[in-house]
Amino acid sequence: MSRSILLILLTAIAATATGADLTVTVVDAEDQAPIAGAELLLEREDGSERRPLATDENGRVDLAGVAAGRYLLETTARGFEPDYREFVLTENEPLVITVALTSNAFVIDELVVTSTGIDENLELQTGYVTLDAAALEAIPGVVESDPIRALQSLPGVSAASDISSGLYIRGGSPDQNLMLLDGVTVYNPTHAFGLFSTFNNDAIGGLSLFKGAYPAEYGGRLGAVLDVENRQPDPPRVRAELGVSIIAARALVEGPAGPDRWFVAGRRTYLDPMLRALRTPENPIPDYYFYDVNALYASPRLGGMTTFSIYHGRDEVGVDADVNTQFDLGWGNTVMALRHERPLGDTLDGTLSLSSSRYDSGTDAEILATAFEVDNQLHDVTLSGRLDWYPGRGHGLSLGLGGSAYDFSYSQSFNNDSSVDYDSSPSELFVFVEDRWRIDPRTALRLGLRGRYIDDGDRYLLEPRLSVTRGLSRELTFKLGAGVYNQYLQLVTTEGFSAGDFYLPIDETAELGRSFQTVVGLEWRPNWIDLASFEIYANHLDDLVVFDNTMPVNQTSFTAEDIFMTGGTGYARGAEMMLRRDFGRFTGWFGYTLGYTRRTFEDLNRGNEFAPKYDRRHDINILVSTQAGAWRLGAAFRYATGQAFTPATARLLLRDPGTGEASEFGQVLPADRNSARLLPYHRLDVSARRPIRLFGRPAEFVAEIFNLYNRRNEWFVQYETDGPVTEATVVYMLPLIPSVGVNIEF
Amino acid sequence: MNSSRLAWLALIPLLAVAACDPQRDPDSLFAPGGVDIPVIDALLVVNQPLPRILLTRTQPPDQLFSFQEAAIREADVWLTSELGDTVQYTEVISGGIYDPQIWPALIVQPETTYHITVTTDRGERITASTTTPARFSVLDWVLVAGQGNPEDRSLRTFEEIGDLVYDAPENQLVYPQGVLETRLDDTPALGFQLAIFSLDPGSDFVIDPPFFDEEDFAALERSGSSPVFGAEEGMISLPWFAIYFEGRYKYKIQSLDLNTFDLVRSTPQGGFGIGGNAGDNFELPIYHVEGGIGLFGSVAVDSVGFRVLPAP
Repeated sequence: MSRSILLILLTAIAATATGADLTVTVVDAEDQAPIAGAELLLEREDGSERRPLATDENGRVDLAGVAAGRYLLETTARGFEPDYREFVLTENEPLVITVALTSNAFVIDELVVTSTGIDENLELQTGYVTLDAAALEAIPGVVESDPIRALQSLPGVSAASDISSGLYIRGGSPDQNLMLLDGVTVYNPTHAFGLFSTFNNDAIGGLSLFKGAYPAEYGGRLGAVLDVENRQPDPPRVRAELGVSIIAARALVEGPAGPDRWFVAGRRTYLDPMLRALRTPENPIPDYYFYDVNALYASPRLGGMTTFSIYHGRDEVGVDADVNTQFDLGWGNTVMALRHERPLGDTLDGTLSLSSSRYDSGTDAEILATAFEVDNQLHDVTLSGRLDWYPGRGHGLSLGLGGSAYDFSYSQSFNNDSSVDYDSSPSELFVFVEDRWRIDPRTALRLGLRGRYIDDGDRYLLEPRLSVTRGLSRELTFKLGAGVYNQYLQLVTTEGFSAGDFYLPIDETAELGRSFQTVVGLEWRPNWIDLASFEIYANHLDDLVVFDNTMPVNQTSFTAEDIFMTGGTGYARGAEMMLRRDFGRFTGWFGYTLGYTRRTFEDLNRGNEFAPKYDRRHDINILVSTQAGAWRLGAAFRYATGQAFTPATARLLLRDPGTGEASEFGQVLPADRNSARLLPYHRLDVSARRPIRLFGRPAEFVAEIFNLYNRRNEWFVQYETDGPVTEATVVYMLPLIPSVGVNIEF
Repeated sequence: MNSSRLAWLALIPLLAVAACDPQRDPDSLFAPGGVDIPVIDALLVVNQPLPRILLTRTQPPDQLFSFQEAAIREADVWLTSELGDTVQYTEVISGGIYDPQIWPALIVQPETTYHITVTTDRGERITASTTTPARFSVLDWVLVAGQGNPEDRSLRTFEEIGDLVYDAPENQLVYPQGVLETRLDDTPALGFQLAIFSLDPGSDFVIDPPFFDEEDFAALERSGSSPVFGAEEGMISLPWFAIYFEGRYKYKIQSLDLNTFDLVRSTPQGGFGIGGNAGDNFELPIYHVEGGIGLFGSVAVDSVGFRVLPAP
């Protein structure tokens, strides 16, 4: 009897261990072609099992002995809509599932593969957007496709001007955004004084934007996070692409090296010979060019994936007007990252990375025999590690640890006197823990805590983060996000002239800026449209700083309280709506944002609250794309409330205290800060692309028109009192600009 | 709902915007709420007699500025000091201009607080105070070696030789050789302002940049002042880009009281500003005047003279 019982028990245990076989095949819904490298997340409903998987070259995953039970399966692949389904696996009954994914040129909330497997931000994160390379290319641009400028087509995201890459995200200023390239900070992501970003469309695979309440793995900024991913090369053989536009040439080469993969991409403007030809002593047009190079090498040889990537970009502008007047100006970034990711068990993954990001700019000028030099540099070396553990019961735990060593230097001399010679080498340690917990099939929670120690001022910071998702029905989901953020590095920028940007740490003479963000939203996914989302956000800010324009020109002290006006407060509140459709004849989105942003500084506007220039009451974005025969047509329309500006309110007579002389026509008296508005901004851009053959090679022709109806959008107002009547001159932004380009593949 | 309908629906807001788009009304670039504010203009100079005071009102920004229309007439103006001085100012014939009624002239003392009280003909009361800066000394005016100047050279001063400074060999500056450096004593000061005066009207230009056109040359002025300089290193140098003409120059450096310091550092440079653009530097200046705006400030001054010669 006892032997029989034992036998039965052993049989039962063996049967339990055997479970059932599961085969999942992922195919393209359009042509049933298998999709290799699709990412699957198989999760038992009770949370006891969670497996990240990937399809093989036949688009298959074969699993034997999977425990019986109810499962959730998420399937994602780049360029396709994600698929979510539930199924029941019965003991000893093999199950074959075919997942047909729908191709999508406008994948916004596409799941993105990260070091830990599948991006859970789609499910958990409010205000989260991803765009892949194809989607970015489809957004009409100006002269050069630019991922940062493309983001301006999204609701809640706007720019200072047509020639600025600085982003205003949900009422935040550009200095409150963390800009990353594969997780490494890029400190000045602009070319051409802000007209273009440093990110070459050829070299990037996609980007992820957290508009607010971002998770604990990120830190250091009060507002948003933009993480741009390098291209993930996977060609079967070496291939190349060449592209030319009106101002620049681009090249991309990628290929395999045994099991390894690599790519190199670069571009350079070629305006300088033309500028040189136009230059005369009477009209000393500056010489200008920029270039950048991206490269990546990825190898699976060391028991995991090892990736080395590098970005180097530089802008140079110079003019030699005469013997007493010339200037040279240069700025650029060099970013390097070495990362190793590997599984450390069935449920544990590890990532180790070492990165370096250097930004420098320098001005060497002489104006009418007066010399002026500014040099600044920021070097950041960061070592970090991360563990992701899936212990079951619906939990996904992450632990990250790292440290950054910064080196700031800033020197300034005017008229051969060195007024500033600043050096600082602070360091920062950070740790974060995060639990992504699927409480039940309809409810998920992400709890995070980021701790920071900054040796400058001996500061300890704790930043809790929270995200909650609750399915209210099959089509309707509720989301909530919140977090506390501190900012130590402060960008000093002039958006019309980003070449001179520099960063300074907020040292112990001032408090760190703090924000508390909350976002509440609903997502509706009916069958006639992909997504209808509505979010309400509120961002409360304390201890803000703003560059002090009134300090003496030769100030030598460079502490935070000397350089900045400190102690500012503010808020950004608003509501954002988005309708998105990724299938059918027309694809695209419609977005609307209602926003209120205010700031208060004791030393500005007589201490009264004011609207900063990134306050936008209404913001409408429409993006439409369609296929018409061989042509891929796109159109983007944007409307925004006019930017706030300070108008002139009166003229007055006041003698110059230096000369004792009064201007014949008086001076202009400014009104309250930003108490007027420029006219509403609106613009329509269109693009057309079609495949062609050039020199017997596959190629693509691209035509774009920026500002199709030549709207003269106002940029700023300038008041001059040289004449008897104050003249108010409106300076306009870019007019209609057509551009064409060709990309050819080898 | 099919795709075509969606696309057409998306066009509706666009068409609505285009239809409702307002045109810029030039008047909307001005906000005339700041008109008719009393403006006081008085600068006390240490070791000099009490200054003349101008009283005006702000005028509409987009109209011709008229001093006669702006002048505040028949105001009751009193100046007092912590030393017990009380001086009444009376309006001179041209209106809006007030002179102290005291003889002999009252000399402005360093590190002394002065108050002004103005009651206008409309009954408005305007008050302000200034504490004059300490006297300071220029230890040396030095043409520093470099840029073609072979060695450091001290300039002769008014105290030494009076107006002969303009002809002293040490005070002959060849454009743009060397840098003129002012070395100061360690008297505490909030900040300094430089001012330069070309004393020979009609003298030739010393600059000749090929990219200047006639309009550029015509816009150059024979006197000018600087933004605020600190003097943490005890030294301030004169930039050559302040010099456009040959001939004699008077070069003044003045230590600023709080009111003048705040006004100069917060006034948009050049009398114009940019509204709504990056930088946001078109901001209401810092005035320390109750019941109005303007300047009731004070400075302590030193100066030197030299002659600028064209490059050989």
